[in-house]
Amino acid sequence: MAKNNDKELLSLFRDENTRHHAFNIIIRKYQERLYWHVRRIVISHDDADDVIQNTFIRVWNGLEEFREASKLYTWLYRIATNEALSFLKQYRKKFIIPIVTVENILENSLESDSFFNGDEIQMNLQKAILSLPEKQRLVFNMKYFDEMKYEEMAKILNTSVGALKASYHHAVKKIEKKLGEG
Amino acid sequence: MDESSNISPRLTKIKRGNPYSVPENYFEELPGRILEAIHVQKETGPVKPFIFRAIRLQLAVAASIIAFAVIGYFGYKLIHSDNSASGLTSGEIAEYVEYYSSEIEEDMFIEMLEENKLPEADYSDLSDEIITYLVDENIDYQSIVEQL
Repeated sequence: MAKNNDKELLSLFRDENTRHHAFNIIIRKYQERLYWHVRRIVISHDDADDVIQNTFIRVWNGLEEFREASKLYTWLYRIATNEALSFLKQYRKKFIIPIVTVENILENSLESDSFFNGDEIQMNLQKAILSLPEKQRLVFNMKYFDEMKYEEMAKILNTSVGALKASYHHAVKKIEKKLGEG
Repeated sequence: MDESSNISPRLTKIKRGNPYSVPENYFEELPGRILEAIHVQKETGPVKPFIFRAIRLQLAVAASIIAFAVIGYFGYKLIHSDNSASGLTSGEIAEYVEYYSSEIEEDMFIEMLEENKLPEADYSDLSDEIITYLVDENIDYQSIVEQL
C-alpha cells in the first residue's frame, strides 16, 4: 500500500466511496502514537482502549469539517488529549469530597497493571509523574516521552511556548525531588 | 533531554523506554474494532457514554429542582386558595351586599331560608336564652326583623 500523505487521505475520506478505506489508513497511521499518549494519561490499558476508541469515533464524526488550519496529527492529538482528560474528569465527579483523589486511583491502577513491564526505578518515575498537577503531567509526557517541540505542544494545548517551557522546567524539578525521596 | 540534565541528574540516568505494554495483536485488531464501533453508531445514533453519563446526572438534578418547584407552587396555591374570599376588604363585602340586596326580595329570602333550614335540633334551650336576653335588654323583636 502506497504511503498516503494527509492531504490525500483527507481527500479520500471526503469521497463517500473511499471514506472507510481512508479512515482505516488514518487509524493505522496514527493509532500507536495516540494510544501511548493516552495511555500515559489514564495509565490502565483498558481505560486507554476505551479512550482511543472514543477518540477515533470523534475523529470520524468531525473529519469532514476539519479545515486543515493545523496539521492532521496536531488535530488528532488534541482530540485524544481532550478525551483522556474528560475520562479523568468522571473520576473527579464521583468523589465530591476528595478522600480518594484521581492520582490515588491512577497510582493503584499503575501498581496493579498487568501490562506494566518496567522495573522499580521506572515505577518510581511513573509515580513521580502522577504526583504532578494534570497540565504539568501532560506537558512533561509530551516533552519527555514524545519529544514534541514546544511550538507543536502550544498548538495542541493552546498555551504559549514560554508557559510550556516554564511548566516543563517545574515538572522536572518536582520529579527530581520525588525521585530523591525514594 | 539536555534541557533537563542540569536540573535533574536522577532523571537523566533513567532509561527513557516505554514501561507499558499491550495485549498481543492489539494494534492489528484495533482498526477493525473502531470501524465496527462506528458502524454500530451509524445504526443506533451517536453514543457518547461519558458525556451521556454527565448529562444524565445534570438532567436528574434539573428534574428534581423542577419537581420541587412544581410541588411548592401547587402547595402554595392549595394553602392560599381557601382564603381567597378573606382577601376581600370589608368595604368590598359591604358594596357587594348592598348591590345584590336590592335584587333579593324578602319573600325570596324567606323561601331561601326555608329551603336551607338547619336540620332539626333541640334549640329549645337556646331559644329560651335568646328570649330571655331580648326581654332583659328590652329589645323589640320587630325592629330586629326590620333590620334583617
